[in-house]
Amino acid sequence: MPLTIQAASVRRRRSQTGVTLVELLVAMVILGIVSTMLVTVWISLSNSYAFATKTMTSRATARDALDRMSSELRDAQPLSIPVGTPMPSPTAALFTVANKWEADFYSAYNVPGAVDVGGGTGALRLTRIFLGDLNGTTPPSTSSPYQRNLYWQRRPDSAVSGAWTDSGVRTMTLATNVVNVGISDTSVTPTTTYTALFRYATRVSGTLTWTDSPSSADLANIVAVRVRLIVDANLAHTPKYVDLSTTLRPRNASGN
Amino acid sequence: MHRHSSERGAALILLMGIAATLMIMAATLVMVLLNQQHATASERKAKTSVYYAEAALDKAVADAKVDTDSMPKLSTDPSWPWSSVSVGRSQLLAALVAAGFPANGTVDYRVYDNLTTVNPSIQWDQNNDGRMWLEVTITYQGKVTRTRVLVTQTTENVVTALPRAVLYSDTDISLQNSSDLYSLRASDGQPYTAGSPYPTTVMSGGSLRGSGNQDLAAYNASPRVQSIGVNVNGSVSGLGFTPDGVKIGGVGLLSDYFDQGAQADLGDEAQTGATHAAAPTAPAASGTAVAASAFSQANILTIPGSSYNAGTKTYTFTNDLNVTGSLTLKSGIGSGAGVFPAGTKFVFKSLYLNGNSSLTLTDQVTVSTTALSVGGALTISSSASVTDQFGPVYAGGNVSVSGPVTLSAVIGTTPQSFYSGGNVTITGPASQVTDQFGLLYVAGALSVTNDVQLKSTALVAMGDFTLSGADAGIIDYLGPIYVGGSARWSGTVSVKTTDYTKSYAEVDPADTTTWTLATVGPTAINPPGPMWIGAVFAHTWPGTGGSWRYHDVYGYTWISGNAGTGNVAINYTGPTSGTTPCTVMCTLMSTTEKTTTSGRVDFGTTDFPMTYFMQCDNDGLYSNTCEWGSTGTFYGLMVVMEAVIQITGGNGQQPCVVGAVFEGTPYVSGTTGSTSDITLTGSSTVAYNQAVIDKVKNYSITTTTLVTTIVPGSWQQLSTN
Repeated sequence: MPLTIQAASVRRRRSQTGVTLVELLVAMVILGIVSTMLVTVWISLSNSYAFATKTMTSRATARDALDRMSSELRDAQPLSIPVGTPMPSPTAALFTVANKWEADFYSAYNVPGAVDVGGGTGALRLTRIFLGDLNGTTPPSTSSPYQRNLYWQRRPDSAVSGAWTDSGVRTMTLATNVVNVGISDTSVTPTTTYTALFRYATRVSGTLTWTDSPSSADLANIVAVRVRLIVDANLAHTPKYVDLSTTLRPRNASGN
Repeated sequence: MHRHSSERGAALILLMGIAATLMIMAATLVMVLLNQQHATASERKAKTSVYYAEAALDKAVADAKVDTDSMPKLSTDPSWPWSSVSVGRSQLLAALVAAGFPANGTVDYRVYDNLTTVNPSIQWDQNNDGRMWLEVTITYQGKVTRTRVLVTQTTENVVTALPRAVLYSDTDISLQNSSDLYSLRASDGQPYTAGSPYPTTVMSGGSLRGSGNQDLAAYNASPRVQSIGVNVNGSVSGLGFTPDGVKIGGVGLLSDYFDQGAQADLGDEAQTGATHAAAPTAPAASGTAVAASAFSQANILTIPGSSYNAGTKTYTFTNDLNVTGSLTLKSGIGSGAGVFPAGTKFVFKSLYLNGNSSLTLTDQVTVSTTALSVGGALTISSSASVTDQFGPVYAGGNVSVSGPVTLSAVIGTTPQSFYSGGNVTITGPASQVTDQFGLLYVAGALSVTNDVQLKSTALVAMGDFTLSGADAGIIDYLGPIYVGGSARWSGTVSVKTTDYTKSYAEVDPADTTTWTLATVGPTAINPPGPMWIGAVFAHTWPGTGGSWRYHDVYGYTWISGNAGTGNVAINYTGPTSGTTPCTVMCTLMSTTEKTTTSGRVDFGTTDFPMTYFMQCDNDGLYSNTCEWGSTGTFYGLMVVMEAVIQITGGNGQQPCVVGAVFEGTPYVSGTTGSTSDITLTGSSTVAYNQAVIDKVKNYSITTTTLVTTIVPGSWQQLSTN
């Protein structure tokens, strides 16, 4: 019985000792197909990974920016506080500039040392959040990548005068690839060809009105702000928008 | 074999490579996700910390707003607003923990002055601007948030300090039957139909209960829409609809806004009339000594300085006389002592009856003096019209006047004092007579019956003061009134506490269009005088009065009410039919006991509203109730402390109250107590009108209270560095 098995094994090895050209070609074709598929999947996976990471990063950045803007805007404070008996209603506006791309206001938010000995009550700092060119070109356009940035700036003091390019002005980029300028807003009436970064609710005699361009007189009547931030997470490719919005009521707004 | 191994190895290596790559990518993704998750959690914690900090700051400010006399004051006390730092911290932490804040979190606060150069150790208002920073720091799961706000203490009218509520109760509010609440436009008094935000709110520390018939809109509102907000600590049930924007929680005690100190101050303001004119002093004996027996037809001309004019039947005395013995002068036939022909006149200089001597004038004799002093009683009676003009009068005993006697204590046009050491009883005739006095001071009781009009510059009655029996439409002008006992007025009589010598006294109180700022209110040039009544007060509309209505005018009014079980402190009644109301114009009326109203009586007007303040003393003499059953309208502010108020007289169209009703410190006593301290029944309604409330502040009361408020626009969130 063992001799029989050994003889059969010898016969099988002899039959496998040759590879024909056809076999080799078939094997190469199969290997090529499999390799191509693997590479394709690999590239696709890499792209997806990169896209997902980029999207998440963009979303996180946008969310952080929105959060920051909310906190800052919520802390907007009039530079002058009413004095008198009985207490008069505040007449000073919370915002010094308020339009669809920019909001300027005074705030003590995160101003260090405000309550320390010698810190003084002049903790208010003129702050602005705006979309556009750091050099001050407004309104922003879609043509310049520099005008797709969302900036936060704070003056070193409460001075009304002075340029934002002064030394000591702190600057922070809150978000890039902000594309509000080129995206129509169908949620407002009438529809706009842009999506305002800021929209403001003014209340006069109990009537609430939303606008992205309040008049100077209405600056003192702003009671709420809607912030909408649209970031393109896939710039230069098929747009992938991260569209976030929030509405907040400044804590110091009249009537709050 | 070698080739076989080689083929298997290539596939395995390829597989392992792919698997490794996928694992790396997956791990990276997981890490990114974890990072995001962590960031989100961190962000959530930070925001929660901010919310807790805001809540803590709100709680701190709310604590600071509760002002009691024992509370440290912002201006000087470093421990403001709590008695100690530890008390403040523990209060804040306890409040937060109750709201879900983790017990292992921390809360701290600081109070420091808003100096240009901050020094947190300066915990009082060093710069004396009435403002200080109140700062709270919260640590929540490692996230630290610091917020602060400027708070200020100002002294403001108590009306300003009250919440803007149409009804405010520390406990329940019960709207029964077809009763309702609504608001009116301040601009024109018409129904408010503009919807939210509402101009006022019904606020209940308990629950608001309806009967299915309430829509919180005025009866003639179009469209019929909710016109007031709703804020209760308990629940809202039984209204005829589901109200919009019901806020649950946050209703404090009325005493948070209107503390005991302010209550006492308002009571004091109502008791302005407690300080009354002093009793005139007895004049010293003076003049030529004369015996009373000399006053006879046979002997009278023996009195030094006497003369007689037969044409005018007038005896004139040029000397002051000091009479010994009681003197009677009367008309009649014969020549007995004191008997003179009808129509005889006696013109004295000053007449002094010493000792306990009395003076009696009977029938048709007329007496005038430049001054009269009677040691005993003064009695005047006549069946025919006589006019006696005395100048200042001092009667040691009772004074009794009856019949058509016109009595005056006036020299020229200058009113003089009239004093009685006992009681004064004036019983008038069927036709009206007018008695005029300066200060009318009665050591006992004052009773006036029938058609006698009283005019005085001030009235003090240490006993009761009763007006009754008039049917001719009498208007008394009395100046400030002080009554030590009870005041009960009935018959067709109106009472004004205006000095009759002042021009405004002629303003017809029924014609409210003629009222001006000069006629009422604490800022008036000649305001009505105050009224202080030591026991109970009632003004009863006579059932036989026909179309006649009383129209009372008082300044600050206080009715103590303590006169024995069963008597209400204040009781007004008006006509039960017709549309013309009786009116009561009063700046501030206050009592410590039960009040009832019925019939058609208006209190105040839209332009000149009043304040009714009941501060029950819980002495057990009365049930602690204000039973407001008038079918007229009360314009102004009702504040009831430690008692229940029942508003019952409405007709569904005319509001029972235009203004606001506040009830504080619920009264619950055994089984008789009520948890519904404000109850409206029938078709009674309360209408809020901000214009009326503003005028209460301007014209009705001046009592102030210390109000702690946030300085608008001063809230800050600070760096935690």
